[in-house]
Amino acid sequence: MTRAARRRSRGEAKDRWTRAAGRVAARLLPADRRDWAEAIWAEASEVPAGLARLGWLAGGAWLMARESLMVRRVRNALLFAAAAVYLAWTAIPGTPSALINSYIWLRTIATIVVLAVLPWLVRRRLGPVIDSPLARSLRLATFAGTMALIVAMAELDDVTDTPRRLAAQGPHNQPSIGLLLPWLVFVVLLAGYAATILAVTAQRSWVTLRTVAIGTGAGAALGVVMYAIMPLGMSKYATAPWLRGSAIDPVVVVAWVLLLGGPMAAALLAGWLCRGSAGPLALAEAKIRQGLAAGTLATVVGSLVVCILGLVTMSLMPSAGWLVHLLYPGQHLTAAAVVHLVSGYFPAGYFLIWLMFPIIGSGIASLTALCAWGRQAAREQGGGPGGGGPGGPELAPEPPTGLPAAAGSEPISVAIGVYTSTRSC
Amino acid sequence: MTPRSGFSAQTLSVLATLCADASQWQHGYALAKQTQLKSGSLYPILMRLADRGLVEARWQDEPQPGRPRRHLYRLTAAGLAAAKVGMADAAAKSGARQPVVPRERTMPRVGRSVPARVVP
Repeated sequence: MTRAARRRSRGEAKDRWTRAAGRVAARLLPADRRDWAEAIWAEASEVPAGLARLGWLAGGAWLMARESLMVRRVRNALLFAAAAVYLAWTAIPGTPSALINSYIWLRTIATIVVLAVLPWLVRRRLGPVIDSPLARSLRLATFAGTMALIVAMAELDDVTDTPRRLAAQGPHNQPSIGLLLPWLVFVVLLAGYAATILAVTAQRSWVTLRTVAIGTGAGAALGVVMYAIMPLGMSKYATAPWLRGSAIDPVVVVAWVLLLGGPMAAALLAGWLCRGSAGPLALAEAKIRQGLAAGTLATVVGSLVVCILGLVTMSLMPSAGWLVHLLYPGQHLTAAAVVHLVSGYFPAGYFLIWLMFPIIGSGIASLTALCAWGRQAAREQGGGPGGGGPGGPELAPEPPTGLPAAAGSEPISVAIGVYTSTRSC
Repeated sequence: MTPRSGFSAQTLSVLATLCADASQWQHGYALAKQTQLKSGSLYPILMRLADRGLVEARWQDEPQPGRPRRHLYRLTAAGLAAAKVGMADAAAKSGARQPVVPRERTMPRVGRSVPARVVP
């Protein structure tokens, strides 16, 4: 056999192996898609050997990964349904006879409905999730964390006998609507948190993946440090028994720096790294938007982290001896003492964080972004042709996630106008 | 950026290429060469068009010796009509106003791949 014949035979064998691998891989797809995967593999033998063919096959592999996402979506739906059933089974009290029990029913069912419906709504409006591990992980963590939060709250209600305590505060041994109002606000805020995370990680969101990464990083740092300070919330007895005396002081300083400086730094970084806008948006306005989104996201993620970790820790305390030893080193606490400690927590502390963090974050971030780019944005908006000074407003290429041109631009424009008018006064 | 017909620029370029010789069955690689799309972009477009009944696909009857059977594609009657509407919309839109983003981004390949006689 000549060398050319040997080479040809080797090439044909390689082709056969490639096609066989393609057929096996195609079985990962739904039946109506397998023909397409096999078509790409069959067509590969027409593509010139080398990098071009490799690129063609890589495209086929990419297609299969994308199409198997459909399978993954069904699997995710099933997983969510299983988690929702578990959540309902764990967190719903036996009967909704008393008003407070009705509230716990409502809280759990509302959470399940919110988590089921919001992804669908966001998908219709802003498209599917960005194809990035960060975006997927953020969504998954938010969903898992939210479910854990509801289970933890139900557990705490049970341990601390919240229904009876609340009932004792209301007339006729029933909690008044006023007492339940903060809890209802909590559910509304929970929906807002989930919607924010889903929206910023959607493909047609105007928030870029880079901004999501910056906001998430800053938020995770803020949440972890806040949790380190008060793993048991704002308790009547001790906030951080594992950090004694003055050891907690530097951590408190870091927490304040992160709370106030985190959104500011995130806003500046996200705006600075924003290289352009899509559609009619001027560069400075795009920077302001990204800055605002990064700062707000930082506190939203921070609040989620500290509230979820804190409430889950407290709910585990009565049953997890190792956790008690970790948080109260060297102390031997009885079960009754642990319940007494957990009962002493101050839920309004978490509620304040839940309510105030996003307000603080968006406030600081909007001020920071307006101070940094507000004047430039006003110049670009009002300058007309040639406005924007030397260099002019640049319209750089669209960011990878894409920006719907005018979506939500009005409040930003108004803010820029207000900012420039206050500066000129 | 999306034309009124709802087709993306890449989809339009595929439609235009198929429309150029609507009666002939075409191979994936030939389409990829003409539209300059990668396989990972071209095939999802063909799949969606086939799902909507705008493109029909079949396997080659008699493969060349030593070669696997190839998948062939051509426009259906509905696909031909939709392609003409889509291209007319895109042409009207690009003529009506100056796009804000660079032209390569809005209509990257239609201009290169559509023969002048095909555009209505």
